[in-house]
Amino acid sequence: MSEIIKLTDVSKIYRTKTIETQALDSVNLDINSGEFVSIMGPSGCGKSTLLNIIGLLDSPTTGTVELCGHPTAGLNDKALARLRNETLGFVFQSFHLIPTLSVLDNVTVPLIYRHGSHNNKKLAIEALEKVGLSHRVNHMPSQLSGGQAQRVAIARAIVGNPSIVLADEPCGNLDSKMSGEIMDLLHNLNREDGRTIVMVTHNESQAKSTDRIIHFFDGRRVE
Amino acid sequence: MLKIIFKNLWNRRRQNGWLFAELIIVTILTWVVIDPTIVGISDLNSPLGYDADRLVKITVECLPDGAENFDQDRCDPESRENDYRAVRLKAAALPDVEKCIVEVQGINDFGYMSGGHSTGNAAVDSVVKSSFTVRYLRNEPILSTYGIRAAEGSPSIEELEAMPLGENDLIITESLDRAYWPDRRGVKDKYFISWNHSGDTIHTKIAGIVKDFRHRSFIRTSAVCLRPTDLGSNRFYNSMRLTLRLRDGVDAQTYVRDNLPLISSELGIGNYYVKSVTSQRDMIASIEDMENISNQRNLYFFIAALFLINLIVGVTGCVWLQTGKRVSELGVMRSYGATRQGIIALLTGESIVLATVAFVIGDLLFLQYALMDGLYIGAGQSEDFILTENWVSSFWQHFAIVSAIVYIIIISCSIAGTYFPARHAADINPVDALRDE
Repeated sequence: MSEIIKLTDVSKIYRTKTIETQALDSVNLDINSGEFVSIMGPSGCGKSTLLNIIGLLDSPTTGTVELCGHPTAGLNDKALARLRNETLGFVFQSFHLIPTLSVLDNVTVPLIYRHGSHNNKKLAIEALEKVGLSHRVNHMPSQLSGGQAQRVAIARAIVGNPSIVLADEPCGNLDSKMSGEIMDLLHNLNREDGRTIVMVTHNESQAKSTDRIIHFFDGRRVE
Repeated sequence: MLKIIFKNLWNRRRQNGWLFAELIIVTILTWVVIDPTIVGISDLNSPLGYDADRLVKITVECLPDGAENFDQDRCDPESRENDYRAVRLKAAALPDVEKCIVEVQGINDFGYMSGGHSTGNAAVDSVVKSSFTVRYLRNEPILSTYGIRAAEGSPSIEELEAMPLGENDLIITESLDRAYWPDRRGVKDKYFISWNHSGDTIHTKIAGIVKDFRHRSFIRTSAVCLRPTDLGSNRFYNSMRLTLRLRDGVDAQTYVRDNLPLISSELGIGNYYVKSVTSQRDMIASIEDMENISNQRNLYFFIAALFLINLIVGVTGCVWLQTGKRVSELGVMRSYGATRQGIIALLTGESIVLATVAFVIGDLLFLQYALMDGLYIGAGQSEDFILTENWVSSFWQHFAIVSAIVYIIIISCSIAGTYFPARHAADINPVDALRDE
């Protein structure tokens, strides 16, 4: 399997006028295509920072990030946006569905920013079918349960057919039954579609169900 | 993108309600403020229709009996007549003077305005339309002095000034001609019909037609009748107004500044003294000051400017509040491929669509009022008078032009008001935006 995510010596320091916080310290990480990796560690250890850096939402202070073999350093806002759009799908702990858009429109969001994208509606419905919510296309986010909202968020993450899905505590706001459903869904996406999934979690059992667990402590990777 | 803009606006209709209502009201208020301002600018910039830059006005008056330098020996009618003629000859002989006339009423001349710029009711086939009347002394070449030009089909200015025009002859301006005879050019068989107190029909012949000129600088060009009149020179013994036409290339304002002492000494003959010398342009400016026209115009400009600043601040405030509540939404969009420019375009697009719909509603509401009460037609104007056909007097053209300007203002203010909050929102790190709950 080829490396789809490669982090070399990545450090992240947050600086304010008075405080300097090292969120990540010389992190090296290789994730292969089709892997389902979970990242674990106590709060504040740098898990989400790592995910944001992989997701090109944040940039490392030092070190390099390569996605699908492409170095990302020095890319401008437009190129980063394009890479995010075509390569990455995000699932957030608090779903982050746009409250004023219907389920279908929420799922369509990544396709809006994709040049030359056609059949947006068809693709969105297919993604919703995959998460079992094709009957809710016209509902608003406020009409959904937490589990349904997260499934919509997953549909949004996969609608653009990205090779990597980044999930930041996707079950953090859900009860155990719904968490189970979401984890099943993520495993299906990994197994059936061959998507690489990187998941941040606090839940040991969820992490154990993935291919690999990477532990973090105080901004460092620990074995 | 457009689809998502419409969806966002529709789904956020409650949140956008206040801004939408504000924009409708602002559209109507913009109309109220901008319409007079634009008509004012149009009036200010429309051509005068004559050579104002070459004209100098001189007021010559006679010393009152008992004044310090009053010459008792030269106050008899014969001496006054001689001095009057000498003043005229001297004025005509001043350097760079091409023509010199004595005026009964001037054009754009406030001093004589109250003396008889009344409405002339001209009737043709029982149709009565209003125009201004300017009386001028027969044999005084008022047309060539002012540089007024002959209209199509009319005798030339030289021919008109050479004609022995009688009491029942008129020279009219083109707009008056077109109001009565829209399909016929020239002066052939053109008469105004009126009746005197005894009921006798009076035919007033149209002797000439001249191009429109601005009879008042602060109002739009309107129809004018130039009526020749006879007044004995004794009418001017106490006061006379001279209008000088300078040679081509001589600036009137510079001329007045450079030649004031010479004019005062040359025309100070007998008991006559020069009371004032001014260029036509300066005279127009002082009339507008006296008439409060300049102040009114400046006030309109000030109100318009203040209004626009308030509009921008208002829209900015509303959009700032709205975007502040949408930070997480914008973060999601950034994470799914929206660029900073894309976020700015989305927010600005929403603002443009909202402002456009609000403008259409506000514009239609104002149209209802305009259909009942009419549109602003200019300071001191009345629709009773024949006004030169231009965009201001054509209702739909006027409405379309000012609507377009109001729309541009509303859209510009909306864009200006949205841009900074949108840029601020677009610059927020997506990580911070997604952390926002």
